[in-house]
Amino acid sequence: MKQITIILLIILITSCTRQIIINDINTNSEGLFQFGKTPERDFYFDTDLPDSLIFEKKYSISGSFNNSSMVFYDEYAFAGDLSGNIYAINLDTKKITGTQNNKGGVFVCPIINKLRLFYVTDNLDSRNSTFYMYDFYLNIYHAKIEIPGSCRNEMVKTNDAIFLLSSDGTLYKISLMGEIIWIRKTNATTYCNPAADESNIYWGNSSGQVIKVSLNDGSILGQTKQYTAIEGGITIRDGLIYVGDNAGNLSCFNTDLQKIWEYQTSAKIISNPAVSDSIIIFGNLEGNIYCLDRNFGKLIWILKTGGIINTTPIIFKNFTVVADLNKKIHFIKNEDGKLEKQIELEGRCKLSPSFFKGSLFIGYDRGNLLELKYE
Amino acid sequence: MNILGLNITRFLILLLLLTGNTYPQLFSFGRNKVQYESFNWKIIKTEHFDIYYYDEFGEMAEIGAAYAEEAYSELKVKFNHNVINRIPLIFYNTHLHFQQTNTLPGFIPEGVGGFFEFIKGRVVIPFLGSLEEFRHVIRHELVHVFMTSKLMNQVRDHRLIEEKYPPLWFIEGLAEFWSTSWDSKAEMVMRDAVINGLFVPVHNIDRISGSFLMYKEGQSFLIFISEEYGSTKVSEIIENFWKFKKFEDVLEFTLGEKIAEIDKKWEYSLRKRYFPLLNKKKPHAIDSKKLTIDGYNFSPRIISNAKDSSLFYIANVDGYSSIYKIENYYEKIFEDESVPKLFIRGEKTAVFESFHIFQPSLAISQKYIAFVSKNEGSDVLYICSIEDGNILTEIKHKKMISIKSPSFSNDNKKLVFSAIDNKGFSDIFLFSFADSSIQRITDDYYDDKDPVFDQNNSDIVFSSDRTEGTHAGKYNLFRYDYSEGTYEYITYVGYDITMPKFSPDFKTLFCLAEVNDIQNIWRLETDSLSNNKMCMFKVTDFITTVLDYDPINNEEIVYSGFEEFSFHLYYYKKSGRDSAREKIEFEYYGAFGKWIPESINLSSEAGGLEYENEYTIDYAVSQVITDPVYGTRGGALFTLSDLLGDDRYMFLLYNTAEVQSEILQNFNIAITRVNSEKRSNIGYGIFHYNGRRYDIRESDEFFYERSYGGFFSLIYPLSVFRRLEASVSIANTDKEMPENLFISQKSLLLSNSISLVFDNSLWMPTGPLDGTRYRVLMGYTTDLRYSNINYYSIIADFRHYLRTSFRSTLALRTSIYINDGKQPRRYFAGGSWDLRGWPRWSVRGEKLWLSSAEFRFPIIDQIYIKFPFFGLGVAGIRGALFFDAGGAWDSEYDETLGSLGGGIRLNLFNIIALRYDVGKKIENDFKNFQPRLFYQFFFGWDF
Repeated sequence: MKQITIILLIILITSCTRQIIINDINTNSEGLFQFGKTPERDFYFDTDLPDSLIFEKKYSISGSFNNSSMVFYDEYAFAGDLSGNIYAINLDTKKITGTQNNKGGVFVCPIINKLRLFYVTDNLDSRNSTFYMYDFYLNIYHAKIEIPGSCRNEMVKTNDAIFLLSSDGTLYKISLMGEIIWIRKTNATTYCNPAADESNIYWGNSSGQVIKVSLNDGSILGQTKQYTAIEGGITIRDGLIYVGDNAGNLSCFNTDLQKIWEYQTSAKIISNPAVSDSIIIFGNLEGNIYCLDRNFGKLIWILKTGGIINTTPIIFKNFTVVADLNKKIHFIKNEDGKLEKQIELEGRCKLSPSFFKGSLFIGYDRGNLLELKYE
Repeated sequence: MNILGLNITRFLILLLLLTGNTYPQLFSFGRNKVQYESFNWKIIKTEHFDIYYYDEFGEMAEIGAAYAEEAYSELKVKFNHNVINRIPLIFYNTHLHFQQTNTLPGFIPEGVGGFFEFIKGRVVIPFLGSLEEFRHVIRHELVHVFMTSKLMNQVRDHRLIEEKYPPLWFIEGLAEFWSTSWDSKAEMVMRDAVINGLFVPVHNIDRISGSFLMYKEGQSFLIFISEEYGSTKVSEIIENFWKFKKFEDVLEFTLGEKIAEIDKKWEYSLRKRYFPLLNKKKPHAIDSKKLTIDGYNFSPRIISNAKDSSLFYIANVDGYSSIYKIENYYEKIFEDESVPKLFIRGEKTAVFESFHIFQPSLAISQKYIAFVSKNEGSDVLYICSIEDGNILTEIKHKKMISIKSPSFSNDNKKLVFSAIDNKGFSDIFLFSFADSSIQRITDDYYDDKDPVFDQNNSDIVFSSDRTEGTHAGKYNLFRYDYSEGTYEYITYVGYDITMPKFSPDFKTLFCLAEVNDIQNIWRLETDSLSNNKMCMFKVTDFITTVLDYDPINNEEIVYSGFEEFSFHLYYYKKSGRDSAREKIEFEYYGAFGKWIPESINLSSEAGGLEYENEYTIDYAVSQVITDPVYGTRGGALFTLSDLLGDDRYMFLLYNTAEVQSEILQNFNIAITRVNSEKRSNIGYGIFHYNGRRYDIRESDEFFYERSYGGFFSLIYPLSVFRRLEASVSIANTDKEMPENLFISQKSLLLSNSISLVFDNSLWMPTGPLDGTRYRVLMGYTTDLRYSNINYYSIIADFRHYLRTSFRSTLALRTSIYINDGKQPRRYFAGGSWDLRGWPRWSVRGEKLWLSSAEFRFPIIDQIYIKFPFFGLGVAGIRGALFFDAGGAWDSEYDETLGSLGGGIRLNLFNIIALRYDVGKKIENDFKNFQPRLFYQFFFGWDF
């Protein structure tokens, strides 16, 4: 009986998760602090990806990944899962350092600012979401804000605030101290990742409008007329705004919301396009990957994979890496769209690929995370 | 009824087989699912599917494969999801073969067009003649596949503990919403529901769960959501499914409004759409005279001559589809009640196993009537005399599986009809009475149907989807020149035109046309106002559909129409308004360019592969229980079967040890295989049992027995109603004698039995209502080694149900059970299932007889009590007045026992029936009643 009690206690203790407490982070270190690195959503890495990638480590979290991405800081990676948890992974020791448990689903990428982690959970059995500001050094929550509706749109971090866009089209500006500065309602269903330049934030909604709002005071500065519903994400580069819609059109607007060009594909686009100096690469739900001239919208190549592309690719100087829900990672040559390599996984690819300190991170079914290192 | 995924008949048979020592008293009845054919299965492997087909269905299977891949490409976008595992699609070339499938254990009614079975993820689809319908059903079922996969992944991804599914109306509504556009069937049902007050809002839609109205309301609701709240909302509902326990909350959250508000808006939109129709169109009951009162009535056919003016039709009035006749119908048109006579009874005998009431299956000439019935594995076209109903000719051919729409030539020398063959081709055939020859007129994958002869019997007019060009794929009318062997268009229009019929004087050609989503009767003629172009003019303009019709003359028509959710026959007389009605002209210049359905491109490795049995687990359960009296018990049961469901294995393992030292010897194992691929169903297996058994001979006695051996059983269905059963088991037993636990008896028991079973009963919610069931069994049990046991068994159990009204019956039962010889087992009676009032199993004897008479009737159809915070409803409470009598003895007859009383029954979710009886026992060898009443509550179906 005594033995059984001890065994049960051990099981109980070890199965309780540790919170994320990180005391040894180097605050001067580099990192990727939000989805797409910058408020404009930059998925370009100005480096060559070598041919040989070697398997470094496979991590397993207890939940399942969303169709978002990861953030990194110093030696740590952070990701959320659909059972409401946030994980911190020590890339040095290759272990999961801690977990913040919540009830619901984390659909969007967390944001890091100094020693604070900002994330939002879409709550289970509730019409609300909750925005958290967690200090992983002090192990305390500085803020927990109830947000009506779902939050499945990626947050934007600027120098002084975080912008959170809920599914009912309400934009919240939250200070880095975790206080709401202002709220702007648009009363339009919104499932689109917004992006921001120095002064404004842009997003699309289910009515097919692209909306421009001032970062400063939240005033609506413009909106396009209604087209097809937009559920793709916004990417901004050099004053051009790129977004895909449910009819499969990839549109380019200027910051005055005038349409510059449009390219028609065959199926819905729900992810952010990735943009480099000259090209824009994106995928649609039919599994086709397109490369266009980003200034004129002319087709350079198409690759038809037969899968489903619902996450954002990342572009290197030579290759583009695309995660496919059809259990594959595609490595595509930028110049001609030829499939250079393909990795088949055990499950569906869920996360947009991430690249940090020489490692490529691929998240797929059942909470599996693959780290590939190049040499 | 299903238990553990097997129907109750087979489950009980298996259970009894597993015991090794059969208890024939517990065998049951039931109809038979007969495998008339052995199919030679092949596989096509596409990118996402394994497609199973058989015999010559290859060409259609390749077309179906293309449809499936096309649907996959679309659905993965709609669901933002892919199905990782390969999807098995099983195609049957006709509905008749589909009914033989073993992928589902139960019977498949005529109206089922396909299903998705989620244990093995199989999609099973019959081909019904039309490629467009084939495409629709494939897409419909694949929506189920994607939805199930998506939601199961959601539950798993969000780590939700409970498995949950959306309500049935959403599941089916979504499948229709994403597989087809709004069509005439949908429009017919919704118009009728809204205008006639049958519409049920979403918050109450459980009331119509499982009905066709539910399917269409679901589809309509999703269309409304899409239009009112946005095209993305349906997808959002699916994406939000994980968030709430109750589906209503998911809807409210996604749409941002309360259900009551959403319902009001939906209902308002439907009323806006349909109520204005009352301005321009008429209901059948207003513009026509209703001729039938009860049931579902189809295929009206008129004979009109000097001697006879009768109306024949196919109807299901009492639970059996049959052919009825109204004599002198014309005079009775304006009487309030015309009483139909039963002409030919269907569905009670194997000869007329099933009439296909939803298809045109009846034809009339001056002397003969032709009708289609299922007979064994295919349809037969019967020709019988109009006067006396005697069958004169049977038309069947191995190449014709499904037959429909027969039509006589004017000289009665020929009969033309449509049939589906082994390839799945729906074509026109011609039967000549002179030499009994069958000639094939068309031979391709286009759906050719509803053929009729012209006046000269030289040309055949029929409907087909072979329409080319601008209106490719639509059903139009064609004329086949029999002498030249060529076709030409009669109509060319973008609506479906079917069922051409000439008026008796051949001056008018009528047809059915689906214009603006509703099917009405039109007529064809050249129009002098349109440069003598061929046109069609609308004859009827009803709110809901005309399904079938027969012209009395150029002005009067009898037809089958749908209204108030029933199908009745109506008489219609044209009024002067006809000339003011719609006209459609035909422009034939667009009719070029044959349409060819897409077919899958296959490599040689991917097509026509031979089927090899692939086994997967159907069911696996294990349990450990601890009881203060009996100690700890544990066990596991799992079953596996092949993909087609023809071959099943069951493994049962449990332990009944009460102390640790007994564990090894108290393992109980049974392994059974049942193969139902062919007509003879074979089962065999081995077993080992060790543990305490309940002694049937004496009450409350247990004894210890170890028994091991094997068994074999054979079930041979003679027809869907009748079968032979045979079983053999051999068991080595070692048991304690209850009289003296220190003595054990060993034996090597050989048990044989053979039975004849018949069942054509029709069921109501709690038991049979009509028909007959009987079982006759002979058996023999002997101890081969020690001669300790040696007896023969005879059982005769006869039950008949005399229908007294639509829902009431007098049920009669008489049975005798005999075991005679050395150490025969005892039969038992007593309890709610036989001798009511007497304690359960208290009446025992080596011989037993039972008789019962029970009057069954409905009491309450539906009752709903609304409490402040919830509602409680029950439906189908039925009553019974009964009389039971019986007796049991070993060597000398003891006494006759009986009981008398009444009770109520309630069917719970079609899984179980609860019963409560009150009455008096008849005691003392039937001399007096017990002083007080007995009250007995139990479960179980009526006998």
